[in-house]
Amino acid sequence: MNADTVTSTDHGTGQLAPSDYIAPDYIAADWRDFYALTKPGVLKLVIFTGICGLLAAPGSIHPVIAFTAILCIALGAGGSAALNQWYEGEIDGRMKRTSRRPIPAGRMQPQSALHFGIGLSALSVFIMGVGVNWLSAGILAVAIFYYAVIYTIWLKPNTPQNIVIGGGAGAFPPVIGWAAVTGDVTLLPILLFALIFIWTPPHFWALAMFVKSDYAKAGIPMMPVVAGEKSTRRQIFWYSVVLLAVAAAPPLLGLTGWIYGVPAIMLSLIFLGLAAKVGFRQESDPKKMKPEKQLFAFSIVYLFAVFAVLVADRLVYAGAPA
Amino acid sequence: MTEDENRPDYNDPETLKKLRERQSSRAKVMGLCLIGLVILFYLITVVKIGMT
Repeated sequence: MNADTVTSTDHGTGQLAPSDYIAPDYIAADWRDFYALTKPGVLKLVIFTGICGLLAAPGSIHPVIAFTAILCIALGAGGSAALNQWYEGEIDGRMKRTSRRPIPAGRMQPQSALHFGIGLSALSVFIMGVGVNWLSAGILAVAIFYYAVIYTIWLKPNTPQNIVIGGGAGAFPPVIGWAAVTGDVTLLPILLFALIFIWTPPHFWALAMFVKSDYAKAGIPMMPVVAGEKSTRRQIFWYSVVLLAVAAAPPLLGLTGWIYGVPAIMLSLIFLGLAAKVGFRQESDPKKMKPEKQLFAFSIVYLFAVFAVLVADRLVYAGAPA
Repeated sequence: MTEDENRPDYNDPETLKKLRERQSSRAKVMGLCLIGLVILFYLITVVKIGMT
């Protein structure tokens, strides 16, 4: 393993490869490093929303097939995360938050991550197709391609809208879970997709506000780095307004009951309140970013809670006499 | 630091031991994953046959 092999992960852009960087050589990577490549923290949310999509769908599914569907969603997400880390090995090394990942920390060869990512992704789509159905396998394949290629390779290094469009990658799991049960995609799973899609920018930009210097150092055109803080703060607020509308749509359209509707609207109003605090203040010192950190933390709780009440609502109404 | 200085010395017993330990643990995890896949495919087959 030599320096050229690692610096080749900048894929010819030439803007990120430090000339004096010599990669460490590698003893065979530990299995824990392969596990770390799958981004286990992100997987929790992916698995959770996938399970929620599966439970919210009308109809029944055999527990073994349900387990297979969730396993495939997790494997697919893990595979695409590995591909993401393979491509961004050099960039990750420049950010404090990601510098301890297996590739930038020198515990794994980039090529191993590439092979692992492709293998895991292909396996997940194959098992989903054979074991569950080919519609959910197709959506899973699109989700993997969306994250690994459209977001990681194309959008993230090139446009400050990376998170806006790239957020779609994380929005697929409930649709896949739904399709695993029903074999089709209706309006409710599309609204669940939209919910995560619209939730992602304020969630991620809140984080980007207080780790801005890290992204700037790595040359990633995140919104606060490119468009400035004021514009990002306003956009966080307006996306939160749209989020409220999307979260309120299912009960208003009669797709869910108010067991989902009331808590979802209340949670969205709290989200909007926190986003308003972020949206209309002027503070650029990362040490004084308490509202931004609050919004980021709440946004995670928000998504878990909204999907949990959705499942509760669907289970209650599914069990109710017609 | 040069490339040669970076390269692990596989003649060093400690490095070799570490390499073997990692290879062994990876092989065990891979074995468990394969057994899991076999069981999963078996169960899927049983369920699918039951469905038809």
